[in-house]
Amino acid sequence: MNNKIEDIIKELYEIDPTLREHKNRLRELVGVLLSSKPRVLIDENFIRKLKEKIVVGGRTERGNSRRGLQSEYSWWAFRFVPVGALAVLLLFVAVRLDSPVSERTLMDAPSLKQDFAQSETYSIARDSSENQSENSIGISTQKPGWIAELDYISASEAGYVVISSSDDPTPGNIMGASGIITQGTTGRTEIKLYRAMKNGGEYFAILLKDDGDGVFNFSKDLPVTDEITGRAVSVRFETRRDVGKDL
Amino acid sequence: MDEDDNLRVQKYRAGETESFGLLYDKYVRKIYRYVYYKVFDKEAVEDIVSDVFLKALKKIQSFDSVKGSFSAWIYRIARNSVIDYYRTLKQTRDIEDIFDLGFDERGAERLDAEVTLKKVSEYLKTLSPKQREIVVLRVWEEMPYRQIAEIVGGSEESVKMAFSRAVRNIREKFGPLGAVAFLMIMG
Repeated sequence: MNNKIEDIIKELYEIDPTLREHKNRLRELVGVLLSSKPRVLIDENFIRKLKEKIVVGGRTERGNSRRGLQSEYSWWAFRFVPVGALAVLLLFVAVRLDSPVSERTLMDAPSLKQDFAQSETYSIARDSSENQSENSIGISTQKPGWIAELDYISASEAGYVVISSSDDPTPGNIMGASGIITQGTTGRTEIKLYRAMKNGGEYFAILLKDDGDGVFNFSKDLPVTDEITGRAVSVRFETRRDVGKDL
Repeated sequence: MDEDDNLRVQKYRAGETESFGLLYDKYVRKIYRYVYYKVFDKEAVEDIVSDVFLKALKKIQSFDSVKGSFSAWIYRIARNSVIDYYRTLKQTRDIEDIFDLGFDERGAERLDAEVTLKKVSEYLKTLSPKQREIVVLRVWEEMPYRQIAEIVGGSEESVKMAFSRAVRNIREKFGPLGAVAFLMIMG
């Protein structure tokens, strides 16, 4: 400890040479300060457990970062949705001018069209504690805003969840997409939207299957269909400003 | 600048998750002690330390080695987390004056250490919060002035001056008898 005392005193002299006048008192004082350093007993079990948590968190955080990049790409892609949709619509109208109206109303989200055209009804979001099937989405009533929060996603293959507006009774325009979801069950997931959900609105969360390239593309990544019903795996949900207040 | 730290940050960003584990191993005990000197409560310290590293993990993409070292960066996170902790407790005192809270209200009786800090706290309480932090970091943590400056703000020179003023204040306030009496208490 003497060396430490001398080092600190030397520093102090360099900073303020007049302190040399109080050499002995200074040594005592620095000695007191050094010797009174609290002995901190660190719980190594805590250190180890926290590291485990941090390492797992690191993996998750890296995953989220990748999803973040993915979302940015998605946002970029969505800017071109209206243009693409218009082009497809013109082409479709030109080729099949005599098609039923119900098929033409789904052109805003072309990749979803074929699966939803057959569907007549959609379930309103239910309690996400219900049994999770192999391909399912858990989402409760949401607060209006720029973020949709899913309770869970269960997917038999890698894919995405998109949030779309409702063009009653079918989905309308895509408003945002998750990053890539791996096979299995994914816990709470936030989806940033490029357009805010309004109070009292109805929206869809739809599960899509990645086409294998790991990059979201609404024209290639098609909706996952339920094996039994043949319908797209989706949940219709509502937004309410006071959600959560009555809990 | 600690190039090893910067390299580990880069590796983590490039996908080597374990690199953050190495940074954790290097700093967790230092941060633990730093927080302990301010809080003096084992459970609170563990909560804050957990918070510090989870925040660091979350914000690591925003760490810029040009602006300062990783060490200073994580100490600043710890410093802010301690301030948040006292905010949460809704202490009525000036949150900048957290050192007093540590010693007066949650201090000696909770210490695992065998030493009693009561007398030293009297010395240190005569200092401004910033001076106290500088003294603790320099004397107890043996941290270089440059690094202290990065944590508490200001230049290396201003930190050195603050340290010498702090020592002079203590000496003038208590004189030689105070120091000798204290040494006898500590006996």
